[in-house]
Amino acid sequence: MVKVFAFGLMPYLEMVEDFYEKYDSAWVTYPNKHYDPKKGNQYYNDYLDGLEFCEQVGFDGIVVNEHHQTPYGLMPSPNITAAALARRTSRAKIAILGNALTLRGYPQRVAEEIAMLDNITGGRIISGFVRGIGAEYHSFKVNPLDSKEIFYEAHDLIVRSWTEKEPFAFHGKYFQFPYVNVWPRPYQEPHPPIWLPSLGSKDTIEFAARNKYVYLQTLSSLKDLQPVFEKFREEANKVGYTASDEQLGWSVNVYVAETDEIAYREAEEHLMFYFDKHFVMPRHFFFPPGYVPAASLEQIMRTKAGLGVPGHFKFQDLVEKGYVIVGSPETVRQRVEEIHKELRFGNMNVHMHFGNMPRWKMMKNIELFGRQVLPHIQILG
Amino acid sequence: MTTQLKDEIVQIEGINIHVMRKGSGEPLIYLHGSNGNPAWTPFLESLSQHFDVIAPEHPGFGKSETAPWIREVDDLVYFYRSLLDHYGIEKAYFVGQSFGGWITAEFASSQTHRVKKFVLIAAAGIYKEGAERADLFAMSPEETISRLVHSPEAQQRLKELSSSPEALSLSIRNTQAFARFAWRISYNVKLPTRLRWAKAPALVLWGEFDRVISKEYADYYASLLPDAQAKIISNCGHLPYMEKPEETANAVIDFCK
Repeated sequence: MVKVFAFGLMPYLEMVEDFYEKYDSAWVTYPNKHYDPKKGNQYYNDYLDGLEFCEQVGFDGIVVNEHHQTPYGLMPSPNITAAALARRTSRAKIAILGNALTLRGYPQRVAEEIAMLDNITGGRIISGFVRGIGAEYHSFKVNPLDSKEIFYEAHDLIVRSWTEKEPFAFHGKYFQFPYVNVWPRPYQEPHPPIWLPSLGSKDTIEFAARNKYVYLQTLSSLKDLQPVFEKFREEANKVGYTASDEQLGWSVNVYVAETDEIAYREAEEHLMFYFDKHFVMPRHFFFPPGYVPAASLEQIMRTKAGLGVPGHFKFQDLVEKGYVIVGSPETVRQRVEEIHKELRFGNMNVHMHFGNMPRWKMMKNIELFGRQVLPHIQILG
Repeated sequence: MTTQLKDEIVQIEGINIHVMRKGSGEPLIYLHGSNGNPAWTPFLESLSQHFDVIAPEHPGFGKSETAPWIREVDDLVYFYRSLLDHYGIEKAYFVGQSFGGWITAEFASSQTHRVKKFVLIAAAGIYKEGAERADLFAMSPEETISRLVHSPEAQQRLKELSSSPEALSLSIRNTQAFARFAWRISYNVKLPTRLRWAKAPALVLWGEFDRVISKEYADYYASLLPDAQAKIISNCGHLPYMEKPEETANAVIDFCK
């Protein structure tokens, strides 16, 4: 069985015409004068309508996440988005993928908010934890050199605060509190499932496997996906258990239309807007010092192209490499079945909206995927 | 007394530190900026005609190792106390460039009795509302060069220096080392108050066209220090030791002698 989740970044749909002439980044410094709250009001409600509709067409869950200071995604607090969905949905899981623990200050606040949501929804919450992307270390000025240590320490504090039933003292390297005593306690026992979304960081894969969490690979080619899943299964073996498919998740952009031809024609502009506009940022924003190991950074700096550089990807490459699955319901179903057969995963996180896609296409995508593809994927064993 | 350049690794507080040393006379400690101090420079050579110049690379920079306890600039102050002890130096002249100027200013305020005189060159460490200040972590390599030095010749030279294969890995290492201390902010909000205890005579040197930390900071530093004079080096950017080595060295020598 594959659990199928629906996701969208909730981006701001427009960026200035002369973006490339005026700016080198859609992150950190792209001025918020280009944000129009009237449009924002419309977008937020469109996106929330979309996610609510996803529950109606049968998705197992709906997904929100966190980004800062960018039109790329307008959910600086994913818990607020989750709260907006909590009472408008009744069956679907709400997966928060995730809270950027290193950027949140007090880990107790994450523990409290997730516990609240879990109580309100009667246990429909999945709690993802992330580090935040490089650019967000410029926005918040948390030291990227400390990012992993802070992440692990915040994680430990949160899990203890969810599971220990007496007040306890926490004395870590980054957090020191004499009384940790989170009210409310989470609805689910021992706590909401923990997912770790990542671009393939070795440490995150190991950490997820060791703790028997769900590992979700975000935005990658199929070629990069295979070794990641393999590594996860190896790590699980190392600590003495066999990883189940339910512990592995794959995130991918999908666009379904009446025919392959229509789907290609309708999807291209929006996927390219995502890569060539929303994702644009210079190297120094993408990779602040210490965010990746020095040796990896040296390799990255020696190549000119990569994520964040406009024009790096062509639509056809993205389709071929599996960053996106586009086509008629039949084409998309077959493609997902092939990939599932080869890679095995128990969770699929489908980006139903990307780039500057208008509402009508998002809704059509959800409807066609939901009614004609989704039931076939959910039964894959 | 040393007259030949000694380029060595010494152990201070159990940490292997790269130190270059040359010259004779009274000891002068040179504390480098965020781009490190991998090699002996004409500026240091000039100083070594008058002083026993000791130029360490800060923990984590270049060929120096570091330790987990070294996380903030005040840790470096403790560390440099141990460096003086290591060399059996009671009191020294201190010259600090940019980030090294910040360390020097902190050292001079808390270790007053161990500083004979000190020179701050384009020093980080304090913040003044409205005075231009660049974020070295948020610019391309090209922009960094254009901001660090003023003259086209100096920019060209810096470009050549930074284009070798070794330069890239060194620059990544030094940027990480610098980020350990300066990622969050490249100043200490408490330092302006603390400078009143930096009683040794001070010289504040600044390049006229410094586009990393603007020259307004020269007067600001001088106003906060009890015994300081400011001097502007004309036609010069953020790295006077590189762009105007003779003039900068002479200013230091005249002041200290």
